[in-house]
Amino acid sequence: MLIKNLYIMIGALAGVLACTYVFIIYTKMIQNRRNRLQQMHMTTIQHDLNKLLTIADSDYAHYLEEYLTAIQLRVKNRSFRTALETALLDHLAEARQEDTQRLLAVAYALNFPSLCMSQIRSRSNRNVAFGSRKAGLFQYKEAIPFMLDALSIFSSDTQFQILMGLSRMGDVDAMETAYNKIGNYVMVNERSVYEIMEAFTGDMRELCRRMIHCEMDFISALFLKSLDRDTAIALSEDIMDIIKSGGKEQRIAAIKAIALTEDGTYARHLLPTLEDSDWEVRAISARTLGKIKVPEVSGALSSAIYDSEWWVRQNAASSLLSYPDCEEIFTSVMDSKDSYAKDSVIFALENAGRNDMLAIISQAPKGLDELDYDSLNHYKGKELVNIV
Amino acid sequence: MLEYILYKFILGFNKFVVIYVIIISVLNLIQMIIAMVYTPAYMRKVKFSDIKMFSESTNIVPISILVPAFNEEQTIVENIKSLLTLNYVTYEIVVVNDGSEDNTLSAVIDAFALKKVSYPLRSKIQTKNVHGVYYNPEFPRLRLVDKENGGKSDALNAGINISQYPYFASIDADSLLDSDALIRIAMSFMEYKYTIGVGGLVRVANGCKIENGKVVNVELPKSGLAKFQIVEYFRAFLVGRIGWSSLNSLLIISGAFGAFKKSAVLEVGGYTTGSIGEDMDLVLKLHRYMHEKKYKYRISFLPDPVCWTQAPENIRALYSQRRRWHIGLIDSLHRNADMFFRPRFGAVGMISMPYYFLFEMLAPVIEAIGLIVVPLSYFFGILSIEYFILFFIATTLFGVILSVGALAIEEYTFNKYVRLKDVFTLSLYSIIENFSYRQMTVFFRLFGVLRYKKYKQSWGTMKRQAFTPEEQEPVDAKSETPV
Repeated sequence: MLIKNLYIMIGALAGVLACTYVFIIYTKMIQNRRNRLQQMHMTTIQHDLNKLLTIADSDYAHYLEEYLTAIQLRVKNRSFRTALETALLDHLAEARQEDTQRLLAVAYALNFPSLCMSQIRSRSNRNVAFGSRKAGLFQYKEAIPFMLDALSIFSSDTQFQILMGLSRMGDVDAMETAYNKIGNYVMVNERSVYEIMEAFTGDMRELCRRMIHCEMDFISALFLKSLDRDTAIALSEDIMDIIKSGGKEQRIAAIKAIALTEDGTYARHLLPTLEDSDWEVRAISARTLGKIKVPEVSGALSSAIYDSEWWVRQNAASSLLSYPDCEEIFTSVMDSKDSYAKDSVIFALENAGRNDMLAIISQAPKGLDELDYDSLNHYKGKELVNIV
Repeated sequence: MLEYILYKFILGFNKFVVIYVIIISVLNLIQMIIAMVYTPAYMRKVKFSDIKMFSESTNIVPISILVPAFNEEQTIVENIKSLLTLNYVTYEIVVVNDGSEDNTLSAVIDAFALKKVSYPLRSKIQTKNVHGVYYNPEFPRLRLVDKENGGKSDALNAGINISQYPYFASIDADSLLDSDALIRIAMSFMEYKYTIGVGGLVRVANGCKIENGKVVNVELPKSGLAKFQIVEYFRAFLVGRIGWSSLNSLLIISGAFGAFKKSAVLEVGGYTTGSIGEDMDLVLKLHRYMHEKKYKYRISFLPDPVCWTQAPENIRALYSQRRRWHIGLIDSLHRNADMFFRPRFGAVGMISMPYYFLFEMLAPVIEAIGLIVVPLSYFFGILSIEYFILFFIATTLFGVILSVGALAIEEYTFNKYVRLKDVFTLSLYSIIENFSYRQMTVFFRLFGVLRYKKYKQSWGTMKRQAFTPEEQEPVDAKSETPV
């Protein structure tokens, strides 16, 4: 019985092996044939598309009509159709705006965009990702509701492709809905989100305005971090609202965004943040006040030199270097008994190469090593970082 | 009495072998099925992914490439040249000369006109003394660290200390990366933020045409030994690793090419010095740490970022390599023995570690005992020749199917070996390896088990060959790497 079973097993295994060999040969032959066809198709397709993109505007409509007529029959061939679709997608992925319209004209004439709907509605996550990518590149807005539905799929790759697809379509409402939908389930890396933002083709300012008020700290902070100077200036009022009432990450990102404006009007509004309960907020605020200088805030910054956190002290000292009364402030710090504050001042001056000022303030009457217990109590229980 | 005990032992061992073979066959079959489903799907995804966009993006994760080098004067310069031309925006190369006894240090310094610089060292991980850091602003991505010999793990830790980016990739000094390898690895970190480790596919460079540090034409090597290793690598990577990766219980990210999130590696104290299987040991430590902290994570294997490496073409070097690998396996499993069959470590503790223990570590021992038991069975008259032959044929056929299956996956997805003649040759070697090569490697691994204590910190030697024929020079045999 056992022997008989072994014979049967050997027969089955031999059959599987034979099938595998046949599969390998078949695949090789098919691959080689497919590659030859692909190469053949691609050569003509690339030539035609390049001509389409470079032809003068006056001749474009006529050429497009001729081209579509010429490929009417060929496009029924599956391999040609696949090659053409691939070529269009590759071109669209890196096309300039003016080229995009011409490429989309070909895609829509051949009905490529509508074909991605079946992929987006597929049960396979992979197909949903493919379809979303195509829909985005083809700017196929009819796919938006289905792509938003598909965001419930718990797959990072699918999430990325859907967000990227929506971003390429440039629809602000869709992007806002998408980010709200994924909520705290952002599976993609932060840098991917930046990439998605950079791919957005719509009204970026409006999108940023909406998303910086998003309930999710993570998303809101990312959008704040991505702001450029012009957008930060345009959204300055919104940013100031967030500084007053946002979460920690939002406040930090908002303060950094305000720094981009280089507008001294906001300096006064940042003063309360120098006393924020989170040390990171205080540190960023101290640094920012070095970039948007207003003389009246130097007093508040000088208080920050005595903060319990090293980064806050350091940033405050570094920022004060750009204020006209810094020498006076530093001298008074050196007069104090707080050696941590003194260390921060010395470090800031050494880093900035201000040996001249260092020499002046070092002539303070009291020595550097004296400490009073009030200062020690101020730092008690806090993790102190000393300069090494 | 003794005869009776021996008789019972032989009977029991025979039954054990049958069950053992059935279990390992089923597990390998499951891995093969997973690989056959996963790999083509993954390659379809990659075909439509935005690699080009990411390769030009400044948002891509910055990566430090660590290249530990000990006595690599033959290949190190070409290796660095190829790394300098990678298709990636933000990366750096940290070459760590681990106290080489040849001209590795001077070769790199001369080739790139490096000068010794003052460089702040933050010793997040303790290492042997660093003698100096070398740099040339004309090659801003490149830094050379010269340190006291401390072994590969120590060199990698020194590289981690010097590196400035949040992710690092370790590659061997004799390996060549494909231009897109780094971007493909990085995309795994980009697409899923909980990824902490990614391994890439290692291919055999022997016989391939290499120009300017790039593999331009993939061909089969002349050496039969190298051909056997091609088949073996296909099986190990395209079937084995993919299977384990799908369960998030991959135990090995090859030291030849693997990337990690630096913060995670620092949390586990970096690579373990004194460990000869530092690659496996690090992955086990990461699994342990993440499970203990109950953090969400993924350590995966990707079949498309490719690293080309030299496979040994003589038996002595192959013996040394396989002995080292097996000792590394034993060492890593031994260091993490407390993870075995512990549900808190998930599939790693419950499935993959027991698998590696039984079917990888003990396999050469069981096969060696089998070689003794079979004639004894015949002697005791309990061996059915017909049954034995049929069983041998069945197991051999299954082994061939695994190898040919891996070859089929390679053909269907990557199609690197374009010529049909090469594919036939590899399929022929898939059969032949079961009658010669496999038995030889089993013996090499058995020596690893028997000589574990003696060689557990020794790397042995491999005579390096330059990537291009005109650069090859005769190299004297070297003494074993001191640690």
